[in-house]
Amino acid sequence: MRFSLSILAALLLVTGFVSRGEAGDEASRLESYSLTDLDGDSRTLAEYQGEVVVVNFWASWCAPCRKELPILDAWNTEWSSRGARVAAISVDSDPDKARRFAEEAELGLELYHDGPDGLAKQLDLPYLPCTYVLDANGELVLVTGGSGEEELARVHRTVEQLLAGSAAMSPMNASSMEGTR
Amino acid sequence: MNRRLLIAALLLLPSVTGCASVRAYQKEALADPIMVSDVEAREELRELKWLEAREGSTGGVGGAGGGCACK
Amino acid sequence: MRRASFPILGIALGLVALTGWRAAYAGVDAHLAGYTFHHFNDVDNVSVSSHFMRYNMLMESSLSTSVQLNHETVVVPAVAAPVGSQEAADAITTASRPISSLEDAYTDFVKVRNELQGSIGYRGVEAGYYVSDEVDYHAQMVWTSVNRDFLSENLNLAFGLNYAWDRIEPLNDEDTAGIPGVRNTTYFSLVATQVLTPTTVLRAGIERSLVDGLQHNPYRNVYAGGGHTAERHPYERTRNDYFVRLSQFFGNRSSLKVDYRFYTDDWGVDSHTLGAKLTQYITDEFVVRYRYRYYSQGAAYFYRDEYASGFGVDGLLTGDYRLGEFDANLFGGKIFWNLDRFFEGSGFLERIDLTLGYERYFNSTNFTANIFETGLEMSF
Repeated sequence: MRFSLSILAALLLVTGFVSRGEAGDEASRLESYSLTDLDGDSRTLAEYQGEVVVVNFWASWCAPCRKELPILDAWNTEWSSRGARVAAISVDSDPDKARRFAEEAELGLELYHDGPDGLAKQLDLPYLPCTYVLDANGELVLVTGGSGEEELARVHRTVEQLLAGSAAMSPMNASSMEGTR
Repeated sequence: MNRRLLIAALLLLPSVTGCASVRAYQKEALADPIMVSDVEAREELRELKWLEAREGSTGGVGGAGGGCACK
Repeated sequence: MRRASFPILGIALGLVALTGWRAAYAGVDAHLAGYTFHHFNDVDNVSVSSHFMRYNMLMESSLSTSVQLNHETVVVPAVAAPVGSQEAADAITTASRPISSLEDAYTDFVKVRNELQGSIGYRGVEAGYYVSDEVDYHAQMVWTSVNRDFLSENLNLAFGLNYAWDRIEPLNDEDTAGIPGVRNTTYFSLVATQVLTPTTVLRAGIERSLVDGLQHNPYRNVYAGGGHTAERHPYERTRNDYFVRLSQFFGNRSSLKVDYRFYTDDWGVDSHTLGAKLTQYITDEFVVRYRYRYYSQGAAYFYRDEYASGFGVDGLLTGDYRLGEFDANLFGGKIFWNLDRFFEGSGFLERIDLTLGYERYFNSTNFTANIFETGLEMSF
C-alpha cells in the first residue's frame, strides 16, 4: 500500500512539475511569437509587458468563437484604460474569412491572423475557442476553453483580480485547465 | 456474409481508428458546409420515405452523430 | 388532429419566424427555418407532392426545440385500360389503391397526408413525437436519442430508440375485405462517428426494427391458381441494417462521401446499397453536388412471379414487386446557392440558402421515376 502511494505521489509530483514547466513554455511562446495583424503589421505580445493580456484563439467557422468575440470586444473597451487588453488570433486558413467576420461584427479589439499551422500548432491548442490570460509579468495564470457563461466568467474574474492586484495567483492554478478538448 | 463479424468490426472500428487525435483548431474542413451532415440527414430522411415505398428495405440513416467541430 | 389545422399551423410558425421572434425572446441563440418542396412522379403516373416546413430554436442554455410539418398530396391515376377489358380487370384486381366501384376505377385517387413532428434536445439528449394522418392510415411515434463525444471530440457515439404505433383503416374496396388493423414498430440504432484526420470522417452504424401487425396492402389481390385472393404477408418482420460512410474533404474545396449499406430481414430480403456524393464549390456562394446510388435486392422467401394456388407459400402471397428480386440506379444533381449578399444589412438574416435538385431513379422492373426538389433554409 505504502509503495503504491509512493508511486502515486511521485507521479503527481512529476506531472505537477511538468505542468509548471509547460506553463512557462507556453507563456514564453505566446510572448515571443511574431504575430501579424489583419492589416499586415507584425508585433509580439512582449510589447505589452506590464499589462494583463487576454489571448483568445478563434476561427470564423467556429460558432462558439463568433458568439464569444463581441463579448471580449466589449471587455477590451472596458479594460483598455485600466491596464488590460484582449488580443484575438484567428486560426482560419484564409485571413479574408477572419477579416470579413471582423468587419461584419464591427470588432474593435486587436485582431491577428496566424492560421492553424503556426502558434496554434506550437501550443497544440487544447480547445477552440481557447483563451490564455497572462499577468502583467507575462506569467500564464489561466487557460480555458469554450464560450459558456462559466468559462467567460472565469476569464473576466481572473482579469479583474489581476487588475485589482489581488493575492498573487500561482501559475497554472489547479482549476484553470477546464473547458472542453 | 458473417453478420457477427461485421457487427464486431463496426463496434470495434472506433477503437482501431481512434488513435489519431485531431484537435479542434484543425477541424476547419470538417466544419465546412459540404462536410457537415445536418442538412444531408434531413434530406436522407425525406428520401427514405419514398425509397421505402419503392424498395423492400429501409434504414441506413441512423440517429444523431457529430463531434466534429469546436465546442 | 384535424387536417385543416396543419396548413394553418405551418403558416403560423412561418409568421412567428419572420417577425423576428429573437428580438423579443431573450435567451435564444439562433433560429433556423426551412421550407422544402419535393415532387415525385413515376412511370405509372403516380405523383407525390410534399411541402416540408421546419423551424428550430437554439437556446443559450443549450436547449434546442424543433417543429416540422409536412403536407403531402398523393395522386394515383385512374385505370387507363378500356372499360370491360381484361387489362382493366387485371389493373383493378391488383390495384394498391381502394376502388369501391367501376366508376371509381376511372377516376384518380387523391390522398392527402399531414405529418407533424416536434422534438426537444439538451446536451446530446433528444426526445420527440411524430404523428401522421391520412384517410386510411394514422401513425404515431415517440423517439429518443442520446449522443456523446469521446476522445477529444473525435468520436461520437449515438444511440436511438423509436416506438411507433399505426392504425390502418382501409376504405371501402370492391374486391377486398378491408379489415382494419394495427402495426407496431420498435427501432434501435447505434452509430459511431469518428474523425480520422483533419479532412476525413468515418461513420458506421447498425439498426434493428421489430415490426408486428398488418404489413400487406389491404386493397391488393394476387392472381393465384386461376383465381385471385387477397395479399397476405407475415405479421412479424425483423429488419436489420449495417451501414458505413466515409467523408473526405479535398484541397480544391470539394468533398466525396461514399457509403455502403447491407440490409437483411427474416422475410429473406437481403439488399446492398452503394452510394457516392461529390460536392464541389464553384464559387464561395455556389455549390454543386453530383450523386449516384446503386441498389440490389433479393426476393422474400414467399415471393413468386406466379402462385400455383391460393395457398401461396406457407399461406403467404404477395403482389408487391418490392419483395421481388431487382436492382436499381439513381443519379442526380443538386445546387446550393447562398443568397447572403442579397440580404446584407438586413439586420435580421444571418444566412439564407436556396437549393434546387433533380434525380432520376430506374430499376430492373422497368420502373422509373423523376424526383424534383427545391428549398430555402434560413438562420436568423
